[in-house]
Amino acid sequence: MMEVALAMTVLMVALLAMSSSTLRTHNLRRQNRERAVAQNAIRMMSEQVHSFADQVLRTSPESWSQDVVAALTPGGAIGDTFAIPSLDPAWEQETVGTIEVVVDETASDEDLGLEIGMPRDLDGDGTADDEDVTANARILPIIVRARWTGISGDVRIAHPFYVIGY
Amino acid sequence: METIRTGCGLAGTSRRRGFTLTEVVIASAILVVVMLSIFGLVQRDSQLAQSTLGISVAEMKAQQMLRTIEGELADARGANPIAALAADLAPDEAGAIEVDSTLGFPDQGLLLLGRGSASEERVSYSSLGAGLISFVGLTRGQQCTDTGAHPRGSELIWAALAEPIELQDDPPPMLWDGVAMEPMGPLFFRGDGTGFSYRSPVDPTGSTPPNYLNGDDLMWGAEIGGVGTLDGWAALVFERSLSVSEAACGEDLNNDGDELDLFDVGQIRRRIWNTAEPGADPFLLGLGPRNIIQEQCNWGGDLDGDGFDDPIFLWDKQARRLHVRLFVIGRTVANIPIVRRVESMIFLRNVALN
Repeated sequence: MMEVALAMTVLMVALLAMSSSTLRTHNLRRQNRERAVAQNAIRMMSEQVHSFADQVLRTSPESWSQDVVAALTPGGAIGDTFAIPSLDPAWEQETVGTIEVVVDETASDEDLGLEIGMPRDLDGDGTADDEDVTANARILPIIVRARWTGISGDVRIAHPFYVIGY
Repeated sequence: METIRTGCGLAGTSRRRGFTLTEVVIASAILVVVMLSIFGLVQRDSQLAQSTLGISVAEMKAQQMLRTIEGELADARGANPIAALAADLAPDEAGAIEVDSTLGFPDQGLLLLGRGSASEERVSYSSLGAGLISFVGLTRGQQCTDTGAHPRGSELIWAALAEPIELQDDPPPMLWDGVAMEPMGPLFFRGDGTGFSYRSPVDPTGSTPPNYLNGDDLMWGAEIGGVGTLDGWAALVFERSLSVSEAACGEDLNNDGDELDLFDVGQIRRRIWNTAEPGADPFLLGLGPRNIIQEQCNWGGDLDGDGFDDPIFLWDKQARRLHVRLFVIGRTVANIPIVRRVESMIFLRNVALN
């Protein structure tokens, strides 16, 4: 009886370990899926912004930066937030996706939390000291972020890029 | 009972006996419960592994396909193949359709005539005619449409291309084939959305490094057999491989509340052809597995039950935006099919062809 009980215990431990490994693999797959969904959504939004900036450049080049910034503010043509289906917003966030336009030439990479090459001259005046270049920027840094509560907790990814108005 | 004798003459007693029937029954019951639990655990693990693996493999392949398409179209410029009939087309005509130009239409495909009218018809053609002014090898009344007469001068489009219509504010039904949900709101479009025609920068001289410029202009075409060809064109096209029926698999695949629909399952393929050699074999490349679904007789229709249509390719020429939606079918445990959506948007930096 003792021998059988011992054998069963060993078997149970091995099976529980196997089960735990399967569950862990399953969770990793779910994490990968969440990340892929978020990356696709960020990519879509980035391409949308590129496309919009290009359209504005063709239709109203003189007010390019104002129009692009306006489109990426709340209530604008694109807005400053976006939902990602199948992902839940992180705690105290209303949406998973956010879009930030950097109009302050003096903002540093450290301030932004990303390596995007700031501070930088955005309006082509030869200096990087203007705190708001909305009216006359020629390039604009855009940061598209996603933050969600996933299977492994609070997850964030960000995609910085520039749109060019010339 | 047995008596054990010790060396010094003292005797002790010990009681050793077998298991009683009750003990054996209880032990067996415990053993059976444990074994059943183990069996259940193993089976559950196996099911979980199989189902998640099946779905994730399908999704992963769809992701790879998206990346391949993005790479393929990175420098491309899109085309909107539209032609006009150069002669009346009788309902029984099966030889050729004469048009003003077939430029941009793939070497074989599906044409849409009389769109939005009572005589709407889809016609498949097997190749382009000589001189780029005709489609030959016709099969009339495709995709659940009827054959009909079409007058000279009427518009004819490549049915596969989905593009937004001009009038987006409450357009009459005859102007559009579907409504897709785009990032900036609903968009009325025409076409099926199962294909996209394009050209890429080419270097016909094959120099190293490649020189795509002719003066200040880029040279456009497609690579045929590894050589940049100015007469080359390319298209991404959904090609059907097999059919799946909701009734047969007992699943509502498109979430429309019934199990009556039929679906085509196929693959996205890249077709490259030489417009200077109509009738020559195209160069084909499958861009992923054969697990893309489209509803039969309703290509580009709603596949997730959200009330909006889901064309694979939706090309907005003005914005140079190509929205790619892939609905992939995978299988879970017990062979139950499951459909997942993977999508991306590609901004084509180069100006559209027409």
